[in-house]
Amino acid sequence: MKQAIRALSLATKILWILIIFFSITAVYSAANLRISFGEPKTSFSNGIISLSTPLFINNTGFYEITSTNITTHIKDRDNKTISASTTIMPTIPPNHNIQKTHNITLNLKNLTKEFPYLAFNDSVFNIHTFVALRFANVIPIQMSTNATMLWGAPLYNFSIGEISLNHAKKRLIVPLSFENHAFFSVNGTMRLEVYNCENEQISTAEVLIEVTPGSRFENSVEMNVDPSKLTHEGQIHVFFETSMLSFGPIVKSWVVSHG
Amino acid sequence: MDNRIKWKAFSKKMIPKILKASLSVVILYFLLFYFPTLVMSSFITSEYKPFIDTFAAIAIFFVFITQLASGTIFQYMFGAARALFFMIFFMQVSNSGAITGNFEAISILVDLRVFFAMLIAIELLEFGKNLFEAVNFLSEKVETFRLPVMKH
Repeated sequence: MKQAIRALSLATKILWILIIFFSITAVYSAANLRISFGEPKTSFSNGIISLSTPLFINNTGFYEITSTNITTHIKDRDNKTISASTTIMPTIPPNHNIQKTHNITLNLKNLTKEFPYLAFNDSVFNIHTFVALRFANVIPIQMSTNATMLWGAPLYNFSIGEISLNHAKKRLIVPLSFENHAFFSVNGTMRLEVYNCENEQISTAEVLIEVTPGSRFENSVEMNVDPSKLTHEGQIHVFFETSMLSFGPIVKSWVVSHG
Repeated sequence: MDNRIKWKAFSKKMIPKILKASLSVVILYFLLFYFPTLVMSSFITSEYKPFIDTFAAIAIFFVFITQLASGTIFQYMFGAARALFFMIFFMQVSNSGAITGNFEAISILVDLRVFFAMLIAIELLEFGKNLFEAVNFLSEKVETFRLPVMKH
C-alpha cells in the first residue's frame, strides 16, 4: 500500500511539474509568436482578379506550429460563396520563420454567370478570413476576421430605350445605356440580336465598347433590318464579350414605334 | 486545571498548523490569484475571470483546511474532495471545448480540451492517491489499536 501511495505521489508531482512547465513555456511561446500580413497586391488577367497577400509567421517560441492553413471565403449579400481560397503552410519549427503568399482569386467571367444580378447591381461582399493552426501539437488555435468589399456593377442601370424604325433607311434604332461602376474597364464588344414575335432573327449588330470605370455608356445602335420580317414587337438579346467578363444574353422585349 | 492542560496541548498542536496553513494561503494567493491577474489581465476576458477566481478561491480553501486537518483522516478526505471538485471544475470549463476572445477585429478561439484532459487525469490520480492514503491511515490506526500490551 505504501509503495503504491509513494508511486502515485511521485507520478502526480512529476505530472504537475510537467504541466506547469508546459503552461509557462506555452504562454511565453504564444506571446512571442508574430503573425503579420504584408501589402496586398492585385492583378488582373483574363477575367480573373488575384489578390495576393504575403503572410509572415515568426515562431520564436519553444514549440512547433503545425497544420497551419488560411482560408478566405468571399460571400455575396445572400451569404452564398463567391470564392474560396486556401493556403496550407508547412510546419514551423521553433526559432524559425516562414513567409507565404495567400492568393484570393475571383473569376469575373464565372461570377456574372453564376450571379447575374452582380452585373447590374452594386453590392457588398463579405470577406471571411480564417486562420487555423496547431500549437505545440496539442492546442488548436483558430483566428478569424471579417471584412467587407464594395462591388460596383459593370453594367449598372442597363437599359434599352424606345426602339424606333427608320423606314427610309430600313434601319432599327436601338438606344442603349449603362454605367460602369466596376473598378475595371468594360472593353470589348457588345452584340445585339433582334427577334420578331415569331422568334425569327431579323437583325444583328456588333458594337465596340470602351467604358472606363465610373463612366456612362449611352449610344444608339443602328441595325439593318428586313422590313418583310418586321413585326410590331419582339425581343432583343444583348451579349457582352469583354476582357473581364462574358455576359449574355440580356433579354428585353421591344415594341416598335414607327418613326 | 484539566481543561487548561487540554487547551495548552491543543494550542501547541494547532498553532503551528494554523501558521503553516496561513503561510500556504499567502503563497498560493500570490501564485494563483495575484500574479495571474497582474500578468495576464490583458489576455483574460471578463467572461473567464470568474473561473480563475473560483479556481484560486477553492484551491486556497482546500489547502488551508487540509493543512489544518493534517495528521487526521480528514486530511485525506479533504484531499479527495479537492481532487473531485477540480475534476468537475475542469470538466465544466472544458465543456464548451474552447476559450474565445477578441483582439480588435480578430476573434481568437483556443481549444484547450487536451490540456484540460491532462489536468483531469492528474486530479484523478490525486483522488486515487488520497483514497489510498485514507485507507492506509485507517489500517495503521487499527493496527496500532490492536497491538498487544506487554505485561511484566
